[in-house]
Amino acid sequence: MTLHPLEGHEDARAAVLRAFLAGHLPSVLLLHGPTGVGKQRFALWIGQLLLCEQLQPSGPCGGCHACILALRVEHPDLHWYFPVPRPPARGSPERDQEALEEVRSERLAQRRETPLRPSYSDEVQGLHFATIRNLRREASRRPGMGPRRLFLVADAEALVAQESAQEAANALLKVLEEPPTDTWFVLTASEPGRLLPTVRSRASPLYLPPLPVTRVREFLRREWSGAGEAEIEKAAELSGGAIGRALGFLKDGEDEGPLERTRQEAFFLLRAALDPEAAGRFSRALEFDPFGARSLHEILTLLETWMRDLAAVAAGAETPILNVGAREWLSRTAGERDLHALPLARAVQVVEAARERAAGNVNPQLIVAHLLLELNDALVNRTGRVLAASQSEVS
Amino acid sequence: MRFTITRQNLHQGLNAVSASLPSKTTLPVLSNILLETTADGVRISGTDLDVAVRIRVAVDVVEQGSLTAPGKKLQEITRELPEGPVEVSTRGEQIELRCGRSHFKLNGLPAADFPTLPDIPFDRGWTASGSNLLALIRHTAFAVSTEESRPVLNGVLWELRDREMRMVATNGHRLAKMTIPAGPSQETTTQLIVPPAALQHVQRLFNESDTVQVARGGNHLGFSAGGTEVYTRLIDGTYPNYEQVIPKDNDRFAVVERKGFESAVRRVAAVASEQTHRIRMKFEDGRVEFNVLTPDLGEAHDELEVSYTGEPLVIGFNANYLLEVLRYVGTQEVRLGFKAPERAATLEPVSGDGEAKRDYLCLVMPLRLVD
Repeated sequence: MTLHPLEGHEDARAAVLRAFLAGHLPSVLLLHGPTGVGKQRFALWIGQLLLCEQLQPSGPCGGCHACILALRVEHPDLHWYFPVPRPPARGSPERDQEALEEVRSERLAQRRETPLRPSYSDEVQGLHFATIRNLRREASRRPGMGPRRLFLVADAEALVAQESAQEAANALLKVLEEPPTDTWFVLTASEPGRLLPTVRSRASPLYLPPLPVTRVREFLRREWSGAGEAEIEKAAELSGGAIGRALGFLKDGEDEGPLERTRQEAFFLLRAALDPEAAGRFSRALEFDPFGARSLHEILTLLETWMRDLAAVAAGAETPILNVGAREWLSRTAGERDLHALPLARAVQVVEAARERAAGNVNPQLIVAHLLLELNDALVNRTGRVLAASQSEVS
Repeated sequence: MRFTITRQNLHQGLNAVSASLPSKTTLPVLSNILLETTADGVRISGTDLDVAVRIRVAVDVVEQGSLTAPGKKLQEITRELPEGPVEVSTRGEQIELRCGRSHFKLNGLPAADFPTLPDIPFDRGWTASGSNLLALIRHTAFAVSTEESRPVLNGVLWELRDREMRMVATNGHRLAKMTIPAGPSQETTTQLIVPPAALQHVQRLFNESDTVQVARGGNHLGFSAGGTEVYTRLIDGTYPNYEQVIPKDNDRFAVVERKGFESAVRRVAAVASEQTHRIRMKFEDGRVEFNVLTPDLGEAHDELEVSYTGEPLVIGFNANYLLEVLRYVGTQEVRLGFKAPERAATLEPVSGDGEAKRDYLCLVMPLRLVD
């Protein structure tokens, strides 16, 4: 399979092309922007740009041997590293490195087979120290086929699994400090703040903004022939301008897409938070596994969109809502529970605190139980009091 | 593509190339070998991207073409084929082998998927006799570091100096350096850092009697002799200034009979700590004393008569490093040079009657003796 064409980001493309042609393309780039906006695809385009044998004023030719291999992610000088689940330990650092390379190889084959995939994973993944040792070993060699090469380190936040585990990031830092000749590194991150400041300071940032929803819609119509118009419409609305996220809301065969399933889970979480009975909230928390907290990240993000929509409806705002099909439930719930926008907006902090705990790998059942308790406190029990206090603050 | 080749030639060609195929790879095409016809034969190539091997075999080409096919499978098949001509042909992305009543079809991948092998200008390179090249490799490559913290030490430094070639390898604890008069006259010294895996292929594929063409092309180094070519990616970086660590002021010297000395070191090392492999040696006039004390294991004492000049010296070594170096020195007698217990020791061959004189030096860092 060949990579789909890079969609949007024309300004960023022009800037990178201009810098490359002038010989000023920074050797370490940090592409940041929302999840699923096309950062990795953009990085692969930069790889193609570096490797193209017949570069055009408009960018890579797309037809030369190097371009063909790059578009199939089979060019020997295009190295794509991304978070993978940690395989079972094999007893020595060398064999652990081998095991991780095997996992990367399998995942790379999947990515080649289905280059268009949702930006979503419920696995606990990381960019492990041994993976970066593999990268450094490869970086110590000169380019294999072309005159230049690119190392793409995708979702670079995963270098720092938690505050106490910075070995992988520091190992990468060593090679970023003195990049080998003819070598470029592109890091991608949707939360660049989670990178080590030392790594961030070595990279030139380039922001990739969300695409207009119309572009997402057009892309889905063109590249995803299996979906109906209504499904595409809904996915594009929910995407937040990110094609990768839109794909997650589309059906996966007969099943709901992974992000759609998560969105529904987030909805049930919100409903549980509004449940006056503590037993219901606890039983919801116990439905989660007692491990793998980092997989909560997505559900918390989607919970925030539900809260945002509920706040918008509660405030009677005219702004469009993201969960388009749920307006009736949102209006009814806001009315029945006497929910107000300000406590809802403030309660987002509770979700953010839960996200912090998830990043720290706290037991997910504890995180969710605490989250539901705090949300319930903020939204149900003290709604009147909080609102009254807030109004007095505003006035 | 269609050509006929003897089973033996095909098998030899595949054997030579298959060793360069990676056992696991992120690029599926690397499990394949590339078969290409040329005006006078066929070229068989394989690579793991670090090292590439290409063999030219003279065959009767009926139809030009190229294809990649699974290397290990082809090797397994040809190993068991009966002696006789093998007809190799392609149909689309399939390769067919016919030999007597045996007939095989294997799925391949287009030749265009195969990485482009480097273009090495052998006519602008230099030549080295196989014996010199192999001696250099044999005497130095063992000392390459396997630690990944300093990638440049994962390669052998090959220096092309004025009318001489030198190879150096070290892991920071021991170093091997060998110089051989050869190569073109040149004013500047060229430094190449070559991965040991490539040098292993050179050892495997070239003979002492070969005249090997060597040339650099961009990021690669190529070796060529008698229709066999080995290409390797060079290691990036600057090799540390090894001359700095080679002591010039050693003033205590011992000449030992290698086999006896090696044997004594091996004997006492049996009692040494499995972590440090530390042995203690005391050199004094006419003899060397070996002592090992490992509290939870026991102790060893041994003595040898040696020729020693200088002040008495007590020094500790990792026995493994010492044994490794002694194995490659080669001559019957070895000259050890010291300055002080905390300074590097040198080992050099002492050429006896009928032994070739070699500019070879090994260096071993001592271990601190706490007692």
